[in-house]
Amino acid sequence: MKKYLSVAIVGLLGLGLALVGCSDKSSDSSKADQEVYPQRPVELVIPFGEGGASDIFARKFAEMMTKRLPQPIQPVNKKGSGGLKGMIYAAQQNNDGYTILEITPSHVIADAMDKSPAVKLLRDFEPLTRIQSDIYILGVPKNSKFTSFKDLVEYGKTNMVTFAGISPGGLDDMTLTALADATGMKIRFIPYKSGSEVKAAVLGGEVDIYLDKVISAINYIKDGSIRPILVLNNKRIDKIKEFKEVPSSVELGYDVTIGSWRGFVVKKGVPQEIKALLIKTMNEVYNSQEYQKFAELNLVNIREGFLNAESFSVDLEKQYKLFDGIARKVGLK
Amino acid sequence: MMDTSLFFQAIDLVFTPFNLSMIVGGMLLGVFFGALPGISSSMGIVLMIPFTYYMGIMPSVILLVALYAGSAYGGSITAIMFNTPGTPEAVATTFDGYPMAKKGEAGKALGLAMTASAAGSIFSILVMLMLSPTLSKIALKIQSAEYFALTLLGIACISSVGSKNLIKALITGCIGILIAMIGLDPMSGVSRLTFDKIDLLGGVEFIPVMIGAFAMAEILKQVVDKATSEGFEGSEKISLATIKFKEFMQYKWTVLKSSIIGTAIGILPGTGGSIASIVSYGEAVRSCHNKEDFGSGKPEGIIAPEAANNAAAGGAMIPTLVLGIPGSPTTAIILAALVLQGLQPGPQLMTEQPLMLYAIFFSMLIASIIVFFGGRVAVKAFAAVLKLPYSILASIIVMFSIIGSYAIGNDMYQVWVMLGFGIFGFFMKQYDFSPATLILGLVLGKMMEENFRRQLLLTNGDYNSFVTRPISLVILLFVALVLFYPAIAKLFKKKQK
Repeated sequence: MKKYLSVAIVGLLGLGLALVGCSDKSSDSSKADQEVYPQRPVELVIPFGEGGASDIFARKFAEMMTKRLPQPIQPVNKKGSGGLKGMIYAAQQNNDGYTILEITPSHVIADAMDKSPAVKLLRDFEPLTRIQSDIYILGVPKNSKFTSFKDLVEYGKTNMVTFAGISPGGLDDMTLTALADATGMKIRFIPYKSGSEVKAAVLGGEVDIYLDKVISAINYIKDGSIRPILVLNNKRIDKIKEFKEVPSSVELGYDVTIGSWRGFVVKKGVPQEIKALLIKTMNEVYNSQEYQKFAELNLVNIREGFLNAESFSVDLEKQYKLFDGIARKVGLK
Repeated sequence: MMDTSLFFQAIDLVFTPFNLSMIVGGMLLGVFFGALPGISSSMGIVLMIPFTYYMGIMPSVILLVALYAGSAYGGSITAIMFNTPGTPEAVATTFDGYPMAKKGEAGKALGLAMTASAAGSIFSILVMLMLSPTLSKIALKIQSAEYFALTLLGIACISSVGSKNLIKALITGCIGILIAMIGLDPMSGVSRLTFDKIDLLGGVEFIPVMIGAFAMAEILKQVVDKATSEGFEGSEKISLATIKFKEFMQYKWTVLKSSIIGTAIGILPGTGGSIASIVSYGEAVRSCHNKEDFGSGKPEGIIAPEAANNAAAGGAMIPTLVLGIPGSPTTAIILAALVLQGLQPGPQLMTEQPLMLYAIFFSMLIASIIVFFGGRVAVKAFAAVLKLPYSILASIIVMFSIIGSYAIGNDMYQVWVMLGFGIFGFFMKQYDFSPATLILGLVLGKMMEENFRRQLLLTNGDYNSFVTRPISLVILLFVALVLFYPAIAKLFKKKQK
């Protein structure tokens, strides 16, 4: 009796495997190329874990793209090594347009720091569109001795100031290094594992200065527990009343406007018409009321995020040079 | 603090048939996700988020928190039945849970775990209802120095786990810490021990290590021992009898103590249930007169970690809701889900949407109460699974182990890690090394190093700062107590003679 049961189970498993194998084969066949794209679901690689800002954005965007295409856009999380694993995974797929990769500054930084010689963002991928651009702000706890950024710079020229952020060698580190370089402040970057630990450290007074995205900081600012002192942008944020009095970095004479952004790329060599279709769909989604509402809710509509393929490409080159420069200057490279 | 009219309004809001069904459904789903090793509760919540788009704010929030509350119970089920913790928080539950199940008392072990879990959870939710804002302010006083001291306390408690063979426990603990060093340096971002492998750059995830060292290793051992070809020590011997409420009451002090430890540690952002359960287990061992019984199926050994890790799960919700600072990875996802629903957890939730806050507490409370009364009955169904022949059971476990490891990063690398540690864990078992201390070393090692070095970075390398901060000093004194208590106790006994 037992024997029959195990034979039956093995048989079923075998059948299942065979079916999976078959379906893979048929979808890979070259027939699909001649027909209209997309013939099967398109994978959108999210190079980060579930629940983060990049994940929420990409999932929402995929959902809205799906409504406009005959086949679904399927988000897949490939997290690890600061976004590198997802990029390497995407590089290993065919350049048939069935794999889209979400990218953030982490990927440009990985290029600049030469973290993965085998796969390079700028060499192996082509930009489609950039969708969002987040602004970084600096804040201090409400009982801080610093009342303005000017005070801070004066103090920081002779004293060490601690700044909280995440991932050493990542975007936060780069941004602060650039800011230190521009202002002549002595900055000590204190890395934490996650944004929530950064917030706890700042609210508890463990570090002097807080660096974060507008959306992550806004609640503490509205509540009065954190006082914003600088916006890393070329102008003030007028859309939010709490920020109206906060100077921008460019206005104070420091040309540091680094922030986070999110966009999409595909592997080099994807047929032109497929790229065109994807770009067109992304354009439509970006301009839809539903997306704009989402952007407003997440406060990513303050700085224009949208860049078309050409400008995104130019911008990526520019960012690469910027990060490469910072890394060389401070000996990270 | 508590506004009574709001209180009743919240009760009114939660007690609708639809919302109650969300609580029960969410809780059952949570138990299911929590029980599957590798399929974490965070993943369960992410999977549910798309469904919540189509519900109102209240039902979806209720569904998610009930799922969260349920997942904290699930981890113990597999820990007890298969010596495979469903979550790292349940590692300490294997110490006594599995031996008890092996004795044929799986029903009792599960009953104890369920009831203790529910009690711990209810305790922490009551604390939440009454003291949330105050406690979260205190939690902010806990900083890098204190976190370091806490992780040290957790590691010191390893010594109580390995009371039978301290040297071996310390060796595996150190291997765990060594594995934790792999990846990017947490302070400087330099890669360590990665051998230019891109997979190692992100460090070693503890879930595949855990699944391998526990589940796979256990199966390999059973197969090699051949003792179990006829089921789990003979399937007839499995007793489905759980425990009566009255029997449970004799452990009330253990439950209370563990719940307090769990809630206190859970509130701190960035700790989580693993430290809570191991510290609580260590305390249960320390305060007991018959220390030798631990590790062979002592009821306190199940109750202490389970009450603590569930209390920690409740505690983790406090900073999440009140400060907007999640106390654990899972609550971080809940936070994201609440934001998607248009809620803004954080200081303003208290003032702008207090009703929502109470409704969240109530849904968790109801879910826990259902587990408290229904859980002991439901475990019979779980325990009955053990009546299956081991050949079938083992195949299912292997299947889930592979799926669970794959699901972590959606790639095969984690599966290889899991299989590698399966073989490693098998040899550890053969030579009587404990896989639990390996996992604890791995989980706590990362946190310990990070906080130690951050404190030094903040203070310009001032080692004294660990003892000049009062809270840190107190915790460090506890560490000394845990480490030297046996020696001191012996000394006193000698003197009395």
